[in-house]
Amino acid sequence: MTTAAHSAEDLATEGGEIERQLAQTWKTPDGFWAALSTVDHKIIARRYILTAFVFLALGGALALMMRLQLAQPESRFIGPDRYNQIFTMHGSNMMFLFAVPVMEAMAVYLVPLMVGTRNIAFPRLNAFSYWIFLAGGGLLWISFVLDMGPDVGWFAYVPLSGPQYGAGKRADIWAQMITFTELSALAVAVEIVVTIFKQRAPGMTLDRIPLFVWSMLVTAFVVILAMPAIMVASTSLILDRLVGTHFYNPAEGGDVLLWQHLFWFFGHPEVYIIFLPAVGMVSTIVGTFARRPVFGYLGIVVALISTGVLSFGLWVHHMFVAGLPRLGESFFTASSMAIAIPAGIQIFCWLATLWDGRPVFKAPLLFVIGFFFTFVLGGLTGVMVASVPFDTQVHDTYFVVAHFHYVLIGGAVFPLIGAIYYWFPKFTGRLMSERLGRWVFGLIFVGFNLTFFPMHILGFQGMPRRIYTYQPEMPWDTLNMFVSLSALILAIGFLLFFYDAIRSARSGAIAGPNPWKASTLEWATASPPPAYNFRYIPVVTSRDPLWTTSGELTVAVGLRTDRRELVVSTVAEARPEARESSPRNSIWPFWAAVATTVMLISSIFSPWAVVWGSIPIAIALIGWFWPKGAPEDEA
Amino acid sequence: MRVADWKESAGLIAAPLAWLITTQLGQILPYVDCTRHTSFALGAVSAGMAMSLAGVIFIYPMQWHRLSFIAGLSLGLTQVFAVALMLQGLAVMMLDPCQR
Amino acid sequence: MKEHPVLDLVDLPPHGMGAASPTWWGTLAFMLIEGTGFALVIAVYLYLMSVATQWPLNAPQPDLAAGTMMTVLLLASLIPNLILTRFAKARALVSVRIGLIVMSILGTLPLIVRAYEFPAFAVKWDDNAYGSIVWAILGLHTTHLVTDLVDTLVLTVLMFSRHANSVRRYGDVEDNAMYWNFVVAAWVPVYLCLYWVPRL
Repeated sequence: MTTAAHSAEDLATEGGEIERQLAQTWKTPDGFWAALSTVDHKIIARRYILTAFVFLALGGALALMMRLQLAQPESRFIGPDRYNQIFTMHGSNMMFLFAVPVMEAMAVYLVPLMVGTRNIAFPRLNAFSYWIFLAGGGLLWISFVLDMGPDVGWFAYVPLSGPQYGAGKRADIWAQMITFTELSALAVAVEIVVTIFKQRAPGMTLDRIPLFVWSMLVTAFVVILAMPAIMVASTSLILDRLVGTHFYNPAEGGDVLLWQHLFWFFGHPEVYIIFLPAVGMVSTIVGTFARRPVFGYLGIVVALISTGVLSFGLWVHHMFVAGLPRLGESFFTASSMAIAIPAGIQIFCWLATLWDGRPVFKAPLLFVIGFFFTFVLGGLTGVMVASVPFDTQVHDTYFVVAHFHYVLIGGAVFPLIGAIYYWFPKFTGRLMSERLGRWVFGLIFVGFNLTFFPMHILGFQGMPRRIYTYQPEMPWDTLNMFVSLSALILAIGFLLFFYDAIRSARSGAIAGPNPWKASTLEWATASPPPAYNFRYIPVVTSRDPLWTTSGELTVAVGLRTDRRELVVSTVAEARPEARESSPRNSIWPFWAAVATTVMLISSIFSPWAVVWGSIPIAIALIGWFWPKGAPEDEA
Repeated sequence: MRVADWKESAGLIAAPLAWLITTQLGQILPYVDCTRHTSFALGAVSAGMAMSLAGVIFIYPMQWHRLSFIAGLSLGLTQVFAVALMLQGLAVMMLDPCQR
Repeated sequence: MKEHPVLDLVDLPPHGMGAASPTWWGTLAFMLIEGTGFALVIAVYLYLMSVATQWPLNAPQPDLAAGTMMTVLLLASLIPNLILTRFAKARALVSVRIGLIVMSILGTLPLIVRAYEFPAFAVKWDDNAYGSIVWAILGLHTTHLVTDLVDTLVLTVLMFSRHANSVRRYGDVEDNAMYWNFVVAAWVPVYLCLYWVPRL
């Protein structure tokens, strides 16, 4: 399907008019209701990212409170009940309200741009998912402020969280927060899969997909297959507590371990849901700053897929002291060690890329280097705790706390901050400060290691997790004080990062379309991109489009500008097969989210809320899907 | 890039599926092996290894420098899961099924 | 960047059908999510059975009448569903309208049968874990029946409106029919699990 009617010169002349029409068709108007009705993936993603970082700051404040309490033995700063709420909130908040949402949000912004399309698939569902996420976060934090926050740990083991020991509504609030956040995450995962499979630019075959997009594809499938487990778990917990079912009651045939199996069947893939997007970010940053394509593309894709699959076979390693047969547990040891191999493959590929490239050590790459050190250390302690005898010694001690903070902060937060430095110019049109970025890196790297490394030793010295204080006779006081002081360095690093981000958004140096001279499609359009992303849909002929076309982008013409239109292409070879309309702004996702929120929160208090509450939801969904006679409805 | 045929993509399914099955059987069979003094767990892991290798057997005769992307993925995945299966097999050989 | 046109998309259809339609893929993804949910609750059933000394717990074997009738009814409904899909592919408006009315009725009948299935187990959700998981599994499937019925009813009304005769609508009808196939397919392992596994 070549074109005789257009040439590059024609595109240059008609470009301004096309832009005007596209801007008119795709814009989000100003105003309050327009902001509630937008379906622009970039606006929604920015909201998501900002909200997630607010939750990060709140979770960090909780951590500082814990460190203040633990700095000295028999401290009276926080009492036991409040402390239980704080560590539960810290874990739940960081995992469900920060880590997963922020990674998904980066994908919501970047994936459509990187695959060369105009919007994410199912844009109204995207809008809905943000409101649901916000509602879940509000539910959790408002309860905490009202001294009704959950206090059963972020994993809410039964029987502590069950009807017999879990008084009040605290555990129900936790369980319903799960429903909100999982619903939101599942919705985004479906959008990502369909965007990547069906909306890629013509010519972007499977082996030309950017590595970040591959990592998000695998992540989205892990979300789809893992999250139902925790939905089943949290729903059955609420049922036990609200209507008297006996899923977890051994006296009536239920089983306490059932909770652990269901939770960790989700809970282990959950950490890979957080980690895989981060390694996609690392691949991208390494490629750009080594100024060569990442070495071992096939190996990295193999690593991503095998990590995703293997993550489903590790969950019992959280249950090594629950009394299961040793031989059965050892199968999970085997897989937990085996998963180090794909991680190692990726690390060697990145090292080879940097070695063979001409690296530019700007802030994003510094954070990637920080990731290398920190994540590898966390991975090493991970292989250690994968061994049953070793884990029997350190389970529920601060050794485990050290391990997972090394892999989560090293493996996810470092790449995330590097990614923010990297993509900030694309999101805002301005660069963050390179000088402050080095300070942020230094403070966070040093502060993190000083805070969390000693926890390995505290674990060996027998300090248990989740204790609100300890006796002066225990040999833990010096290290705890050291850890608490170091946490302040870490906190200052984060504060500096927030300061830099806010200041740069207002007055940072103007970035052009491609300040890093990167190779992927998001850098082929303006910074920030217009509402319609690309004037013409790109046509891709290589893995690194902007490096192989030297200043000229091959594009496709023929999409309408009077209605929102994008290209649907085949899964493997990205041959264009249809033009598809993309929905206009709509207020219905917001109302559907309000109705869903009311139903879910009411059902904490009465099961009939599910029945009556589903009526407004049905009405909102009918309003959402009922055709409006717009040009987008044409076929 | 041509769309891969089943010979190239079998490994994408066979190796992970074999590993999923051995992982599940590894939870059930120790009870059997303990009470009946059998070696079903070892048999299961061996069968899993065989199944995953079978997934890529058709790729070996192909010209390696002209393998499709999907064939490359199949080979790579099979290698990773073969390691996991091998470690599971080592566990079976080293541990007593009756241990708790 | 300078743009060089190499492809003209103007002759592509303005909306794809089947695998060329994002909503088709969205329906598939939803089936994957819900299918995983069904697989998990069946796994929970089997797990609870494995830790129990006797199964069913303090309850008789489930009565087969209502459940078997449900199975027959659902499987039989696949035929008009398939016919409706063919009508939708052929874009035959009147036939699609009739087909949707038939499927609306066929979507309502199982709910009546379902009302007889719950008591067939002679156990309540709060009696013991057996009762809890049986009611949970049946409840999950019932939710799917209800939501698909509402979907079908809305589509039926839509096909009598001014928005009816468009390729997009026929695609919606096909996707809805595909989802009904899933609701029926999900019932088969659930039926076998609830009614026949305890008899093993």
